Amino acid sequence: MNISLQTRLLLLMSVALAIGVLVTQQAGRYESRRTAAADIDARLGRVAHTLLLSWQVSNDLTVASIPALTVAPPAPDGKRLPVFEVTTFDNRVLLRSHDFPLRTHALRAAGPGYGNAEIENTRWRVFTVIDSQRRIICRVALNEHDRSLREATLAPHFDQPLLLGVPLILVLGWMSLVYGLRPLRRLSRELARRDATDLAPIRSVDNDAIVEIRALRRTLDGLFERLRHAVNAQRLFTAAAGHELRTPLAGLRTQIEVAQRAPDAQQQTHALERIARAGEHMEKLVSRLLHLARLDSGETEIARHTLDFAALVARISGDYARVACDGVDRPAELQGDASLLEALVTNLLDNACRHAPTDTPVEVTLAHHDHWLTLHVRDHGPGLPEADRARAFDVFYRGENTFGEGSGLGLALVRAIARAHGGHAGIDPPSRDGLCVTVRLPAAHRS
Amino acid sequence: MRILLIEDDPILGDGLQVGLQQAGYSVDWLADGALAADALANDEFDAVILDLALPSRSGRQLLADWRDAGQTVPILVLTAYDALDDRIDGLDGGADDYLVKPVALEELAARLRALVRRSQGQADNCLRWDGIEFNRASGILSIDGQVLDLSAHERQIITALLERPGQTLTREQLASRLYGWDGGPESNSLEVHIHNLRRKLGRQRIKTVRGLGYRMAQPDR
Repeated sequence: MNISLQTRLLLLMSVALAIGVLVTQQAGRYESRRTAAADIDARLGRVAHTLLLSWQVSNDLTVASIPALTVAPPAPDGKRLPVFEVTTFDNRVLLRSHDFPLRTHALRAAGPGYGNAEIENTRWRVFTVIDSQRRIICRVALNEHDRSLREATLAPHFDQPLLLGVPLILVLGWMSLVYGLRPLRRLSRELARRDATDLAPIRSVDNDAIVEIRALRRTLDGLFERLRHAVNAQRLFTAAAGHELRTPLAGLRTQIEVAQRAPDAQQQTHALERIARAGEHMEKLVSRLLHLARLDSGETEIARHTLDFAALVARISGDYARVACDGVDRPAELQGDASLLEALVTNLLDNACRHAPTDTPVEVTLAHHDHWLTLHVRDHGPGLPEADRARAFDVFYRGENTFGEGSGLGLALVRAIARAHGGHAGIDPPSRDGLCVTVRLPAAHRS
Repeated sequence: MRILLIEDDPILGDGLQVGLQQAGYSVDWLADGALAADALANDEFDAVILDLALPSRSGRQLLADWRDAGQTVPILVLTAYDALDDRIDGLDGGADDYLVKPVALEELAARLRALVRRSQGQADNCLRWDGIEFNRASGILSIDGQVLDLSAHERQIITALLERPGQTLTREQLASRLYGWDGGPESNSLEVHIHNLRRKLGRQRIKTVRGLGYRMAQPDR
């Protein structure tokens, strides 16, 4: 369901308000009822004590001498006065209001203090005071009807402000929501205006006073930052790949033109041979690029077959006249992808041969201990300056003193393959001459 | 025309050397930046083709060093770096032209001709001297409107002589124009070419400066 934050908040607010109003109203009802009851009880008590007091003042009067009191006039605001009677202990009526119920026994049955009685389906509240000294009883009562009348006059005092307030709260609430959500709308407008390639931090500073918006902006800025890095890395890789492919492509094109114009068969054969070599070189370059891209993205799960790494190293080293192997006579098993591991060893050896003069040996040592296979490849070339060591495994990094064709991908690929197998590759601290690259790979578990 | 080619890629370097030789240039090729640094100091070239990414010393560094040393030889940068900033940096750094790989051999040859022409203060591709007209682009030489048929080596020699008419070129200069550092087949092959040229142009047009070399001369009329 599509619903705006504003509508959602407004709905939530309305529900909360409705619940609030209901609770307040109920509480008000209860309160008005309680207030009315207390009010009435107070009046009954006051009337009773007034009666007893006045009786005391004129206790010598006879019943007949105070007939005026027997008729209580109606209260001016429609409030009824309570009914009353004063009797002796033997129920002789000394004083009585004219509207005192005729069936008195229900009222007379109530004990001293406050009580309730029911006469002809009408509930009465009665207050009884016993003056044991003078042996008289005073009863003051008010019926249910008069009581609820009192409640009804009280209730609006609680309800009315509520009824007026609800629409006002709703309107003000809606306006506050519209106003309060303005920074969010502004942020959303700014993001909507953005170009797809624009990954700069969000500019709007005026929103920053609001904690939530600031947090949101920071989160988004963080995301943009990470995206920018990823896009940059991708861009650099693509640009560098373009550079690396341009040179062999230029060689290919030039050699084709040379072959086309060759005046004799010898020159043509020479050019065609170079064309074939350029093709091979580009093929190798592209396959390294693809390997790298796949390994970097973690896209492909590498195959894991148990294989003898020592035999693999020995076999590939055999193709290089300059390479001398040590420690490959005993099997050293690991789990991995044979073609990737071949690429790892080939790249290591190619790299060593390229960076060292042709008359120097390249030494390969394989060691097996603590569940790790360690492969050292040492050349006797110029080595790497301290500053460049950290960059040696970067994609497209090429040292200053390279001999022949290097792609700047070899060591990057070595590291990517080592990592894909759960191992790592590094350069040993300088010792004597040359460069020693070390690759550590986890050995296969022996059962 | 003698060209110094500095390019570390073996296949491209070989292709450019052979391809430009096919077009009648004498090309010396170096793959290492440090070696190239000295080449200009000790030898004479009409133009340099320079790759920027080189082992030992970068092409940018070479360019800066040469220009600081007052080298005025035309330098054409041939590189894989194609960004606008790279081109601007290259040209501002002293390059006379900037080409991005890959490039057609014909275009490269044409640009080299243009560079050399400009460096020698000529308006077009034609070298003229006393009725002789040589078109460097087409390689056609004519005397008083009559076209002569020349071999590639003869063309190289007459180009060198016509570029500096009246000035004496030593045998070594001419030989290096012909064969670069490869030396050439035989020591007297230069004399053979000169002999053939004289036969085609007229004996007195190329004068032997005894003990020094050769120069263009006006025939006695």
